[in-house]
Amino acid sequence: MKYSFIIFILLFAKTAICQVVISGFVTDKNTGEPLPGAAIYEQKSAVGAVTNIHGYFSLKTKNNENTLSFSFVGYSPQKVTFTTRKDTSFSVQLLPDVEIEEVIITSAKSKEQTLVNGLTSISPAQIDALPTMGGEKDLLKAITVLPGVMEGREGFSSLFVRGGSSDQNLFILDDAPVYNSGHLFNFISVFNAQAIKKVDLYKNNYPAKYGGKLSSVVDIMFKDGNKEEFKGIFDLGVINSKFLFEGPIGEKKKTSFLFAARSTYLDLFNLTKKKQLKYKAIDSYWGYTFYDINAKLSHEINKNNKVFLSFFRGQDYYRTFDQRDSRYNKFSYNLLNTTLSMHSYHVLAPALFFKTSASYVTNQGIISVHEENYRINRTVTQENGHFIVTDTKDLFTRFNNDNTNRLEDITLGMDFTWQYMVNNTLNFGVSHIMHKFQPSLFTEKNEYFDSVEYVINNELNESAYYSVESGYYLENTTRLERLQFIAGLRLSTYKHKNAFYYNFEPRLSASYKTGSMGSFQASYTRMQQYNHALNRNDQVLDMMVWVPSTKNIPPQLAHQYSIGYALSLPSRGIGISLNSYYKRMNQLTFYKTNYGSSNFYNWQQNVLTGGNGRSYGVEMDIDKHGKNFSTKISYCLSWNFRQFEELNNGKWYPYLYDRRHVFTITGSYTLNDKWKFKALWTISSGHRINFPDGKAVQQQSRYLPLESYFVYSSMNNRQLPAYHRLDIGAERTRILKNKKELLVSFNIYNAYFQKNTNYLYIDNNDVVKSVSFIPILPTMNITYKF
Amino acid sequence: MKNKIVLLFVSFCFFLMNCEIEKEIEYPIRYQEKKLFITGFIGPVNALEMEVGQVVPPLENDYDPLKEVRAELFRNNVSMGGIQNADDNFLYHNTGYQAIAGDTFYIEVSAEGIESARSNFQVIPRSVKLDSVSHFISMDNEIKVFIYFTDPPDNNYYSLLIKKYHTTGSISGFDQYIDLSNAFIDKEFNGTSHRIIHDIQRNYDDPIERIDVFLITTTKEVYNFYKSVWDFEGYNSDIFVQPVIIESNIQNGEGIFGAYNFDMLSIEF
Repeated sequence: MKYSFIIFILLFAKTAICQVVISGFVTDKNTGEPLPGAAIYEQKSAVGAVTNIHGYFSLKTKNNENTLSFSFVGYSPQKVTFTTRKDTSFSVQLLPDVEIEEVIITSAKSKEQTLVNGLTSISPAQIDALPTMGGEKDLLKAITVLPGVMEGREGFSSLFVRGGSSDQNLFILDDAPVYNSGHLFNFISVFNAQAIKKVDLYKNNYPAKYGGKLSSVVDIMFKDGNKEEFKGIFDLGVINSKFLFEGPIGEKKKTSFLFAARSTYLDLFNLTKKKQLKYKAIDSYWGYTFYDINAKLSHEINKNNKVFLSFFRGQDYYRTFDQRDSRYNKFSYNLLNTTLSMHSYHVLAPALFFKTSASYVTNQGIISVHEENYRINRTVTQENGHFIVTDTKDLFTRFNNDNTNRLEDITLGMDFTWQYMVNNTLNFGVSHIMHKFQPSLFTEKNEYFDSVEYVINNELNESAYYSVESGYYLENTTRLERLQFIAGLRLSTYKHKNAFYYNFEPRLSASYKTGSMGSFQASYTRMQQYNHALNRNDQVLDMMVWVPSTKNIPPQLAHQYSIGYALSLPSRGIGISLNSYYKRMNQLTFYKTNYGSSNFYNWQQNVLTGGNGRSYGVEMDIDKHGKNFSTKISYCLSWNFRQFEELNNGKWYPYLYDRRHVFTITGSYTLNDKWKFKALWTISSGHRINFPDGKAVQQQSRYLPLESYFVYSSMNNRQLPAYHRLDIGAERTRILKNKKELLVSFNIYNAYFQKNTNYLYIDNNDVVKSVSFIPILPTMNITYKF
Repeated sequence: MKNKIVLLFVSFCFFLMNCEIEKEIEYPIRYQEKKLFITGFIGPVNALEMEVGQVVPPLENDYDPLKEVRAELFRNNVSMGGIQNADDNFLYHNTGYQAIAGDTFYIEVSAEGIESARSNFQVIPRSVKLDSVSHFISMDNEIKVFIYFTDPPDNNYYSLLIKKYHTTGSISGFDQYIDLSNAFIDKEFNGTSHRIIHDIQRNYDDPIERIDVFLITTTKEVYNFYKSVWDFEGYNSDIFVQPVIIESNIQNGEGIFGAYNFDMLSIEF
């Protein structure tokens, strides 16, 4: 017994002695930016790791002699050999390799990672590789080329992932939640592509640290800022322009900053129109402008501790003016988003990584209407045989009303990553979000200037709603030679007044490698969504007003099952994945009475609950890359349905964006150092619409205020015609002195002028009309990098 | 030359950005056969009242009027007799029976050349008692009528009607046909006392000597129908909005067949 105990201790000691933790950071040698997703591999122990978003890695090996290979797409690989008996930490700097095309090189590892972890990482290079709409490189449009991800109406940046709706996507920007992902009309997302370092998209198998939305997670990290030298980019486009500055602060190169801003100048065209309206040369005009600002400060306290401060501010301002003889009308919509976040990371021990985050977010929309009515007094006088007509205007009514909706969040979080064994990593942590909702603050002032002057003031204000949403999670990842298994559990809780909800959300995933090239994967994910979006049905303004779960409005729930297979043929530069999914949603909400109404007062009266959804489909994805070109083909076949007791007589009906087929092919070709070409062609089934099947008529009814109305056999009973378009782009790069660059890009959106139907309507002459939004959109951009 | 090309390209961009393409399109209309469109109501007074129209192709404006319209009323699955149309497709049937809360009705309607339609069951709801009505004359020379009632704890749907009797003998506000178009729901005051203030403009030429206040209780189907009708009427012209689908409880047809009950109190001036 005694000897057995001694032998056991010796064996344990031997194992302990042989296990060393190797950790450190992988960064870009030129800029000092961390490289997230870099691969590290130790051949002798056959263990590997991937750097996290801060470029940190940690792996345990059994050997004293180790040779580590470091690789990252677009960078020259490196090998480091050393001997050690104790935990070792060091940093590696990789040099960009100009020989390697840093574009859509989807390596065997990343294709497998997509399938295994449900993660699709999108790099800035992938966003750059697509033709643009309006000259603006857009993250969300780049995501829509992936199978299973759809955009809504043409040109809009809303995301519909695997049958979910646009309010079911969790957007995180530098650890702060983002509630409205698009600028006005949603043509452009709020994420400035120039400032993006990395984007992680999860369509399924979400890590347990994420919660609160049903359909997807889009985790965006902006660059930290160049620590080595001062850099900048100016971009001048047809619709908007932008700039970005980044660089070190101080000589020690421990602090860096990034500042990016963009704005449109569509309103410049309205400078003359204001005058024309004043002098009645025109009756009306509309104006629109937006801007957004991103700022980030990063400071390295020491090699194991770093803090970050991020700020985002975006504003959209849309207005219309209408002036007739006796009436003046002004309508405006002002959308404001502000985010302030602070996060830090700390390497507590070689195998223990700790991260904290805190953020403050506000999201506000203000709709204002101003109307003046005049009485025209005409006098006719005679002078020298001529009649002189004089019109004078007297103001007799003035109406002003403002409707504001507002959301404020304070978020706190802590996350730990601990590699406690060679093949096992534990992630655990906690998050708290304090929400303040004000869906409707309505004020009205009506003034009457008649024989009796009086003013009527009206306020319809709902008191603010407060809620606290918390998440506690634990997730273990086991990586063996052929098998990987992720088991996670998230406990989420939600409290609002006397309503308290809690849910366990398991996250399970398993993958098995069939050889060096293929792997199977299966996963199950359960997600809960506690906040609901009151969507305007019109989707032109696409205003999303957020409200909490209450005692009568429970949280929404989704279960997703998926299986898939990935195959990589690195010698041929091909990666293939085939995936199928089934998603079931319960307790869905639907805001029934908001047709055109900007006033969400008494919103609880009009929310339908208890809805069900189901979506299922098959996704296929093929990447092919070569030295000068790359191409991606994606196809998705899917079905998507909803059911509410109070809609469609309680029967299931197709969801608005139930598009049966979506096929996309993208390509990028580098001709030489100067010229690069890109193209995108997509074809998809049209989305669903309500189109009348008949007209109910009753002349001079005693019971109805109208003589006829359209009837529909069911909700979303018809489909728009198929949609297809081709986008092409060309870029010419010129290298100037001192490594400066001048880039001129030409893009044509919808190059063959396909008049895709965006919506149908029946005009007053009973003719069916199709309306397209963007017939063709050629743009040019000039970019100067220094 | 290069500059000219760039300038042309930029000009072309600005021009095309302002293009919105609208065109006539051949979009197949999936119209089936004609159907009946019914709006009918049954209440505690011994009458069924209804109008019968038709559902025609969505783009059609010339259509033949209905012929040989017949309706049959069923109470607790027993026929109470039928009625035929008058010239204007308004039907009024005096059943001779005073319906009570809990009675279940449905109607079957047919017309020449059109398949018959049948309504879903409608149950006469319980009436909710008016606690009191009172009034005063405001500074603006309006008669403010205060109506008090206590809402039962379950879901209830109401409408309010005011019948005005003038000194000249005329009656206004509510003629002989029931009007449930202002139906509302009790979500805000469920299970509690509620007060409604109704304003009546005074008319010195034809003063009011008495008003009858009717608190009408009706069904969920009637409420949903009129709510969707008002939504449709308000936003139908907005082409950016998803079309409003008007509710219906008619099988093989469109429209509403609704049941109601009421309580009434009067005020004499």
